[in-house]
Formats: sequence, structure tokens, C-alpha cells
Amino acid sequence: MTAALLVATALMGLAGTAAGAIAPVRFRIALSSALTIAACALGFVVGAEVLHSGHAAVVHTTTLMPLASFSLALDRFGALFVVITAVVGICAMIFRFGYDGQGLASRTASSILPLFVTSLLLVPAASNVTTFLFLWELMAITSLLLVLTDHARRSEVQVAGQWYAVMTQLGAAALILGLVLLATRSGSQSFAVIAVRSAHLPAWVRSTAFVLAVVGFGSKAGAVPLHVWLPRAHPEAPGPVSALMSAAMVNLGVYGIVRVGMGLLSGGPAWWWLLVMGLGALSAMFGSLHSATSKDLKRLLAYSTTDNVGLMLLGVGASGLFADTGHRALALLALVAALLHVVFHAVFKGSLFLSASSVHQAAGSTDLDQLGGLLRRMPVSGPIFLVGGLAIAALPPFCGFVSEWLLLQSMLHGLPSGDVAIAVAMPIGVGVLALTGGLTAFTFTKAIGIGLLGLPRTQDAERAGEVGRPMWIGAGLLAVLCLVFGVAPFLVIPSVVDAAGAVPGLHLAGALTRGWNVALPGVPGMLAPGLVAIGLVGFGGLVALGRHLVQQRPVRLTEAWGCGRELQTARMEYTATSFGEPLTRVFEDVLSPARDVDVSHLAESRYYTEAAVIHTTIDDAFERRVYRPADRMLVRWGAVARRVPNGSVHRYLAFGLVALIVVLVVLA
Amino acid sequence: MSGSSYFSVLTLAAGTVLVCAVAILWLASIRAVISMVAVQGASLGLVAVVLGVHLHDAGLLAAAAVVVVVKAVVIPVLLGRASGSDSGSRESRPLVNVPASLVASAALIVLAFVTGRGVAHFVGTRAGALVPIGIATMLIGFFVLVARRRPTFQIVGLLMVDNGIALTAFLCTAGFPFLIELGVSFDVLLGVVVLMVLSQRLRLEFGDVDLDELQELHD
Amino acid sequence: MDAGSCNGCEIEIASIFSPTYDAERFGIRLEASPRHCDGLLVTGPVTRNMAAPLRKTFDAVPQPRVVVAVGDCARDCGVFRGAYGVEGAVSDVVPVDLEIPGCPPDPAAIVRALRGLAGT
Repeated sequence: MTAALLVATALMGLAGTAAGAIAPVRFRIALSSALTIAACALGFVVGAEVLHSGHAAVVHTTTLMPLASFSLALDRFGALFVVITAVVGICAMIFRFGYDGQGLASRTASSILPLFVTSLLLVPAASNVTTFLFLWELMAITSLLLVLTDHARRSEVQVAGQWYAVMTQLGAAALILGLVLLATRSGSQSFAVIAVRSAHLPAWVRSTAFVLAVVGFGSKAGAVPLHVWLPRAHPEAPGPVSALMSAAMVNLGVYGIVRVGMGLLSGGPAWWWLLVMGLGALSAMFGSLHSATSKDLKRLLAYSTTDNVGLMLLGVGASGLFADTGHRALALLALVAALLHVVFHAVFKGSLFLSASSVHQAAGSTDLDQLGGLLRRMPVSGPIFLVGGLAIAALPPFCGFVSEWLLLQSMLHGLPSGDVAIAVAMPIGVGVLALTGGLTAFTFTKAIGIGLLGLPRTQDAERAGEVGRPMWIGAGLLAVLCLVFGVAPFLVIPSVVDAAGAVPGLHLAGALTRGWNVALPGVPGMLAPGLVAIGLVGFGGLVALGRHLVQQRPVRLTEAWGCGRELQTARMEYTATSFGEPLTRVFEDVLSPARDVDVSHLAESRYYTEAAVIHTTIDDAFERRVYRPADRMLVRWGAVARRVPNGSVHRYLAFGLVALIVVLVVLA
Repeated sequence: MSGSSYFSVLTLAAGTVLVCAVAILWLASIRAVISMVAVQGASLGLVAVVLGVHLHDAGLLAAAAVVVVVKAVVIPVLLGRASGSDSGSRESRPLVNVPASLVASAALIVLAFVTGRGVAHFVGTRAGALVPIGIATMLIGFFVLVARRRPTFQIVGLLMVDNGIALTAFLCTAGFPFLIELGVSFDVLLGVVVLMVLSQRLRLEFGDVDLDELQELHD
Repeated sequence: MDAGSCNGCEIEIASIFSPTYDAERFGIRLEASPRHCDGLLVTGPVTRNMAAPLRKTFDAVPQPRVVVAVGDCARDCGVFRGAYGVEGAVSDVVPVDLEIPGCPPDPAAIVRALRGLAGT
């Protein structure tokens, strides 16, 4: 039955594509979004059923693709990701009903968006190499086209699209190499067969395949140093698309690493997992630093995705390391922590991106220095954004707190074990987690304080109003989930534990919840998020009650002391740049901000300044130091290579003759 | 025809093809080259006739007739007519000078024999031992294409490539079926006609010119 | 609060907190925010620009509050009477409880006056 539902999901998604392509403009958005919601709902049902029952949903057909079979087998691990995508997809599509973005109403975008969502839903179900690569490429290409929807109106979109296309194809090339290597060496395409035979492959094959998979999946997940497309593509993509990309697509990078590293290759030597942990730590620190000093809201959120992906990779690497040294309970714990962070990240990041899009629509810009005072003007979307920010800063009673606590616990409890690699890696992991936690809190204080609070900095911000109901419903549903999961994580954790235990190759089992609390198996440590929430609310109530009882004088309402100044304008407020300036100064070596002062003098005398303008730019260090030089080198080689075919017929014929001779020599 | 004399005649004919190929490399005058092309075509026809008589294959004999007619008569006549109006009928500055071309042709023949050994073993018949000659002719024809400047010589190179392929096919498989040979020959004929028309046009447009000087037409 | 003075009175006020006069031993302290204070020391004639800030500062001092006008300018505009930028004496803007004459007043005189206020 689940197999039939899986097929139905795919068909519904294709129906959405068709609707988007064919329907007249009045019904286009509504019809394609409704069909996509239906597809996501079906996907949710399949995923939930598989998670609950443990039986995989298998679909196998040889007629769809020449020379290969199209094969889907959704096990519990994949089902978790399908459920995540389904939930985010439903909320994003609800959001889309009210989204006024110009690009998304076109025929192209309306037909490609359902296709993108369908491919996101089906990738975790792929069970042989051809199907996986086909669906992966479908996902990559559809997301590229969606990023480019606005390209006719803004030129930055084209540049962003180019970066995204190149990085995605580089990653896909690495993936294809790695998976095909595994498949040819194992003699079969099917994941199940590869998983069995991979243990007998020579070590260099396994390691090469793993490294290629990390490169390929890491670039999709947005791990440093392959992350440069993220902060460029997300701000340019329309709202629902960037929410889907950040909350559903990057998860598949983590899915891939676990599936290949633990599922197909059944774990490996410690250096694999140290590599993953290293990439994770680097991503976490780099991402959090850049998001803390970024002044564009969507770019800030994109770097924050890199940060969170780093945390997920820290968990995955820790899990692999523990499994390799034999600490099974800890390995399960770390993997569950990483997967839980995947789930919760999808929820709060999806909400944040949708809220950012609402802000863009209401106030005309996502530049924090042009916002302000929005909490008052957007009485529903503002608090939703606030909830998302609190969740990502890992504050109780929201969900981020639970997953980061779990990550921390899994790494801390690894310390007593004797292994050298663990003893070195875990404290570094804990330190990185602490640093990024602090920086994230800083970042979202900035985002909320400067974007939502205070006085509006521009006319557009002043004129902002609440957005349409579908938009805040979409973002709000995810925000509500943030709160619900934060107080009652026991709703989600057993499924995540089942999913982690189902990673073939790692035979883990255990229970992580005891009633309403989160309890760690085999190690001392327990968290009662429900009690924490009750405690917070109770404490707040006690304080309010106390003040009320102690209050004797009548309350006088007056303006806040402002040193007696009469005028309070938005020009006197903090800007995002100034808020982040201390951090920029401390981390100047990493960020390398570029400062440009432009002074123009009066015509009459050089001693009088007419205007002085300062430009500060912080661009991505990897982009500047690695990618741009590589790009320049490729252009130089290309120029050299262009001179070789110079139009001479004889030269071309000579090429042919030489090629023929080489072939003959090789054959001889 | 008895076995040994059949093989000697076959070897003679195939050898003549190769000798014509090398001679084309050596000769500069276009009239001489066209005569060599005719001789090469005739030798190829002779190979087909000998094989046909030995194997009692009527189709092969018919193919031989086609070959002789097209390659030894029609094409050289066409080429002759085209270059009759050609004022500078010598290849004055070949891209690779004559001694070097001859050395290169020797190297190509060696290469052909080295690679053709495998094929000869595979084919197995005595005729199969001569397959490397076909491959050598083809390589030399390609070399003429590369190393000669004037369009007419390049047409000759193309013809030689086709001759080499046909020779290899005859020796390997006791010939193509008649229809295929017919088709191939007429294709070659058509190709030659088209090339000649084009080179006429080029000559009218740009004068008698080296193809390399037409570089600026590329992008 | 400096409502427009030449800073002469401020120097004298600053010196009452120096070791020579040490007003803190009488329980008199200088605070940065009027919300933490019991009284306001105002110097200088009130200029037009400073009139509203003076009213805001006065409102910010929680009751019961006192206002002390320090120096001749605060009492009756001193040498700046009738100047184009001057609004008036301090008593024209906020109610004054104590006046300390002098241009500038002697630190000892300031301390004596404030001790009278504080009752020490």
C-alpha cells in the first residue's frame, strides 16, 4: 500500500507540474500549489507509515529509463527526510498562495516548482545509483531554474545563478564519480547489493568513494569550503524557493553523507569521520561569523544555514567516530542528535526564510539597515519571526534548545573514552558548538533588534503593513511547530531514533525518551523540556505577580530617559553594520573587510570637504582566496587553448590524423 | 587460377596500390598525380577481380567493375578536367616537404603493419595477410590531406583514404556485397564532384590560394 | 545640569567633590542619571535650546525633588541678561528651591548650601 502511495506522490507532483504549465494565469498559482500540497501530504503519509511500521515502500520498474531500472525503496532513514520535506513543502506552498513575487507566477516557475518538490520528496527513496543520480540532477536543475526566476529584472540574479550552476555541477560530477566507482566495483547498481559487497572492496576504493561523496554531498549541503553558492543563491531566490532550499534541500546533503558513509560503506576508518567533523567545525564557525557580520537578512540566514549544517556534520562525524571505536550507544546518540537537528533546523529555518520573505514583501527590502519598527507594523509576522529567531538561538522553550543540548551531551559524554582521536576531537567540537551558539544568539539579536524593533529607517519600512493571511499562516505553522517540539520533543524523538537505527550497516538501537523527558541511554543525563517550559512560564508569572503585589505607588507613564534630547530619529539608531562592528574588529583576519573612503571636496578649496562616503564590504574569504583565483586561472588556460584551433584546415586534419595514429598505437 | 599465382597477383596488385600512394606523395605535378590516382584505382579493381575469380563470386566481379569504372576512369577524368584550367598546376610549397613526407610515409607503413598484424591473425586467410597494406594506404591518404595545401591534392588524399578502406574491406571479407560497393563508390564520386565545385568557386573568388590563407573565415 | 553656562560654576562644583572639600562625607553624591537623583543642580542662564531639555530633566527626577540654582547666571541671567540666545533665569523654566549666589560661587559656599538642604 505504501508503494502505491509513493507512486501516487510522484504522480501528484507531476500533475502539479502539468497544472502549472497549462492552467490559465488566474488558476495557475492556486492549482499548482494545491496539487503540490497534495503531493506533500501523500509523501507525509508514506513517510509516517514507513517510520511507524518499519516496512520499506518499494517501487521497481524497468520501463522508465533505458539500460537501467527505476527503483525506489523507502526505508525508515529516508522516510524521516521525506516527512521533513513534506512538512516544509506544505507550509511553503501555503505561503505561496499569498506571495506576490513576480517571478513565481510565470508558467515556467509554476510548473517547475512542483517538479522540484517532487524530486525533493523522492531522492531519499532512491535505491539504485541511476535513480538516485537522475533524481539528484532533476532536483539540481529545477532548483537552478527557480533561483533564476527573477533574472530578467536584476543582474545579480544571473551571477548568483552562474555560481550555483557551477558549484552544483561540480558536486554532481564528484557524486557521479564516487557512486559509479562503487557500483562498478561492487558489480551492481542497487544500494542494497552495494551495501553488502562494499565490505570486500579494497580500502582505496572505499576511501575514494567516500571522499568524493563528501565533496558532492557537502557542496549540496553548503559545507565550507563548498558553500559559496549558498549566500549568493538564497537572497536571489524567491521566498518559498529559498525556504525549500534551506530547509529541505541541504538536508539531502547530510542524508547522502550518512547514506554513503554509514549505509553503503558501513562506516570506515577514523580519518573519514574526522574529515567530516573538521568540515563541520569549519562550516559552523565560518557560517556563524559571517551571519553575525552580514547586514542583508537573507544572506544572514543563508550563512546561518551553513552554520547549522556544520553542526549536523559535527554530529554525524562524532557518530561515525564513536561507531568506529566501538561505543555504540554514543554513536546512536550522536546520530540522533544530528538528525534531530536536521528536523528542527528545517522547522525553524523554514519559518525564518518565509518570515524574511514576508518582511521583503511588506517593507520592500531585506537590507537590515533599511528596516526597523516592523514588530509594531506587522503584528503577526513580527512575533513569528521572533519565535524563529529564539528557536535558532537555542533558547528554551523552543526546539533548537533540545537538539543542541543533545548534540552537546553526545560530544561531552564521549570524553571519558580512551581513544586519542575522540579525546582530541570532542573538546574541539564542544568548543565550536559553544562559540557558534553564542554567535548565533548575537546574530539573531541583531536581526530582530535592528529589523523589527526601533524606528523605521526608511519610508518603505514606515509604510509596511501586515502581509496576507496565507503568508503568515505558512510561516506561523512552522513557528508553532518550533514551540510544540521544544516543549514536547517526545513527539519526534522516537521516530528519529528509529530512523537512525535503520541506517543499514550501523546496527544501533535504544530509546531516548522516557515519558515527557529526554533521557540518554547508558550515560547519565536527562532533559525535561516540558518542565523547562513550565518552569520558564511559572518563573515569569511569579515575577509578574511579585511586582504586582509589591507595587504601592500608581504607575506614571512617561517617555524613557534619553539624556533630555528632543528629537529621536531613525538616524540615531544602531545599524546592522555598527552592531556587528566589534565582532568584525576582533575577527578581522578571518573576515578581511574591505574599506573604501570616498571624499569629495568643494570646488573652491581642497581644504573643505563636501561629502565623505565610506563603503565597507565583507565578502566571503573562500570566494576571494580560492574561487576567484581558480576562475582566473581557468580563463587564462581557456585563452591559451583558444589559440590552438586557429582556423587552419590543415591543423584540424592533423588533429584527426594524430588521433587516428594514437588509437592505432593503443590498439596494437 | 592456381593458389600461388593467385596470391602473387594479389600481392602485386595490392603492392601497386601502396606504391601509387607513396608516389602521389612524391610527385608534384598535378597531371602526374592524377595518372597515379587512375593507376591506383585500376590496381584496386584488379585486386577485386582476382579475389572474385578465386572465390567464384560474381558479386565481387561486379563490384570490381564498378570500382574500375568509377575510380580508375570517371574520377581521374573529372579531376583532369577541373585542373586543366588550373594555371599553376604544381604543388609548389607543400606543408611538409617531400623528403620528410617520404620518411613519414615509411613510418606510417610500419605503424600499419604493426597494428594490422592483429587483424591479419584474426582474419586468418592468406588474403588477410595483406590487410596492413590497406591500412597503410589509408594512413598515407590522410597524411596527404594534412600535408598538402592545394584543394585538388586534398581531394586526392580523400580518394586515397577511400581506396585504402575499400582495399582493406576486400581483403578482409572477400569484398563488400555489391550493393554496398556501389553505394560507397557513388558516395565518393559525389563527394569528389562537390569538392571540385567548391574548389572552383574558391579559385574564382580568391584566386589560386592555399587553404591555410582562408583562416579568417573561422570564428 | 549645565543649561548654558560658561563652565565656571561647573569647575567649582567639581572641586567640591575633590579631597579638599569632600562633599561626599556629607552624603552628597553626583549621579549620571536624573532618575537616580533627589535633586538637580542647574548652572548658567537657560538658553533657548536648553529650555526643553531642562524641563525634561526636571520631569525625570522622581519626587520629592529639589532644584538648586548655582551662580548668578542661574539666579537672574548674570552678565548675559537680555542676550539674544537666552530664554531666562532658571526660575523662569522650572521651580527653584535654593539659590547660591556668586560668579562663580565659592566651593565652600556651595557645600554649605547643600549641607543645609541635606540637613547634615
